[in-house]
Amino acid sequence: MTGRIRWSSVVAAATILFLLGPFVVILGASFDTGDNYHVQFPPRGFTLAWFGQISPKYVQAAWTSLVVGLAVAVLAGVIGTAAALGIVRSRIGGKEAFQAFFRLPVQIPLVVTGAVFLQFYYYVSALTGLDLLRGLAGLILAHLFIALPYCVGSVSSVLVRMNPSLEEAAQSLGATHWSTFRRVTLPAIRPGVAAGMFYAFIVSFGDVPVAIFLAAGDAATLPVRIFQDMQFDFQPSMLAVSSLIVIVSAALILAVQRFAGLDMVLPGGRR
Amino acid sequence: MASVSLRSVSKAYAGTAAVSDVSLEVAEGEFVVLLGPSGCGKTTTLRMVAGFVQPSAGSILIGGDDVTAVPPRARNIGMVFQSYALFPNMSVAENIGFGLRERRVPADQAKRRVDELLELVQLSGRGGASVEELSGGQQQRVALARALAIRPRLLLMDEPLGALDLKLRESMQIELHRLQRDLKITTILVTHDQQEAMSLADRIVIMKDGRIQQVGSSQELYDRPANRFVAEFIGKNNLLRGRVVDTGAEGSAVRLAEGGVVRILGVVGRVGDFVDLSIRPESILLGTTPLGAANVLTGTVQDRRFLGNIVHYFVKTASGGTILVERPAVDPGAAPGEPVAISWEPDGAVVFPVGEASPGRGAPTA
Ligand SMILES: Nc1ncnc2c1ncn2[C@@H]1O[C@H](COP(=O)(O)OP(=O)(O)OP(=O)(O)O)[C@@H](O)[C@H]1O
Ligand SMILES: [Mg+2]
Repeated sequence: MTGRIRWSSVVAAATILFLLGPFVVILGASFDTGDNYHVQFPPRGFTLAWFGQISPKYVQAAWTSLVVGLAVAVLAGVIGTAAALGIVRSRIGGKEAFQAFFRLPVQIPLVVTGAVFLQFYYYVSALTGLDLLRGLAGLILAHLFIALPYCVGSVSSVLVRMNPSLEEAAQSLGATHWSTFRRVTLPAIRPGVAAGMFYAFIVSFGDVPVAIFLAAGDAATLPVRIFQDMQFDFQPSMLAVSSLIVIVSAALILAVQRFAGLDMVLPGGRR
Repeated sequence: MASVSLRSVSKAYAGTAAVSDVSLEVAEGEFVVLLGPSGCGKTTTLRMVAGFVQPSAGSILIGGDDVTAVPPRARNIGMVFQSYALFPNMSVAENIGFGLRERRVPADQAKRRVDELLELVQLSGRGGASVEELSGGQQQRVALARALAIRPRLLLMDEPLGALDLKLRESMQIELHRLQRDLKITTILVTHDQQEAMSLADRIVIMKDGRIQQVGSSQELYDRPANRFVAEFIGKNNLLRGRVVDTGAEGSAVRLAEGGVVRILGVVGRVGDFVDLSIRPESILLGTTPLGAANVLTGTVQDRRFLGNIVHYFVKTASGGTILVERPAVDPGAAPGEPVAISWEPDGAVVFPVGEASPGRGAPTA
């Protein structure tokens, strides 16, 4: 074995470098001491000053993103679990067609989804007077549309691997359907539900193409705000915001990994 | 405890029958084993009793009540699954206490019952363990304890020992037998292992292709198999094809495909009919000179297997068939290659009529 290069190891190392690169650049540049109007890497010094200069509008946008993301995660978790149970447990044929149907939203380019939802909300507004573009309901609904397939998929994949005798055992011991779900099914599929909710949150939190149609102005989410400012008015503090996002995301991944196991989160995750 | 009645129960999946017209009475406290080859409908039958499968036709009574339309959770049945189906998110004690909690049994009472069961299955002190840290045999006991905790009217088990190695399986059989005796609980167990069925059952139900072939004690099935299938399925057996050449008051005569005319008890069919003789290997005598019994064939010892207390001889007959003979090891016997005479009494053969099939060759079956 000595002296021989394992090419697979080299490729693996290169891949890791490639994946980590952008994070390192952003994190590094956000500590740069210069007052540049471009990204400076490697940094020429170290300062936390840019973090102090983060504008309150970013804090508000972050709050909006968080509220929308959590709402989407919870709704997608509940609805996705119910839908997955319905699909996997149904005795009717055509399950595959159903599953393909649930993957549909993922196939549509997000810009199209955003435009369609915008048109749809205009239509609803004209018809009923209900303006879904005010407040966050419209954005949450659209994000639910793109996040639901992830939840249905992750819960289904755990559900089909679950030993069906577990639920039968509970029933033979006198458990009602609800009790069986709460005490046996849910604990068994919890990793799938957690992973699905995690995807849902990430999909919502990172979305620009849909949110840019549905959440302009004061209701802008964090990535929309960054996108708009990037175009017209670059500030080094935006790198600081980006760094914070990277750090928070990493913390979130670790938390989910502890809770659900990393294998539930990573492979076949975001498509 | 309760009796169980299956009345003309059938189950069809998409037109194909999994269980056909099964009728069975299980008495209170009886231990009945459903035995048969893979796919014969044992599991489906058991699951219909449990309520997980709805019969296509027929009715099921437990303790005299028709439960055909009653959901599983209201049947008060203890069920042990082949996979054990222990709840992985609960401790041993929580698993055993699951049904008690569902029944709103007060906590202190439930705890006493759980301790009682832990002791019954010899797992005292392991209540706090997680089920994943138990061995297969221990998990099996927990599954049994969980099923018994609710004091079910009936205990159902689907291949409960199937996942255990041979040694453990044998000791669990003894334990299961003792428990069932002590608790006097009506029990239906499914297996495809005939040794297990014979060592556990008060009565065995032999199934094939969704139908019951015969119901009886181990001894009845062994000594008086109702048909060729049962004869071949239970124990070792030689099947010899022949043709009736004479019928009389004190028995009939059959000309064997192996050559020679032998006598059988009673009258089976008419002269000219084909019949199968089922002869147990231990009913056959073997010697280098003919040994007394009425029916004699000659052949050569092809193979001899010493199995401790017994010896198996594979005897090739003049026409080329092989007959298995089982003799005590203390018998003088014969060596491979030696010409021998084998013989049996007329009452040593069970005779089955054969349809219009052509005469075949006798061959030992496992
Ligand atoms: N849910 C089902 N859908 C369709 N066919 C089924 C279903 N369950 C069982 N069958 C069929 O019914 C027949 C009997 O099956 P069953 O599981 O009762 O057999 P078994 O005697 O328990 O066999 P084994 O020893 O292999 O467990 C088989 O042919 C099987 O393919
Ligand atoms: Mg089976």
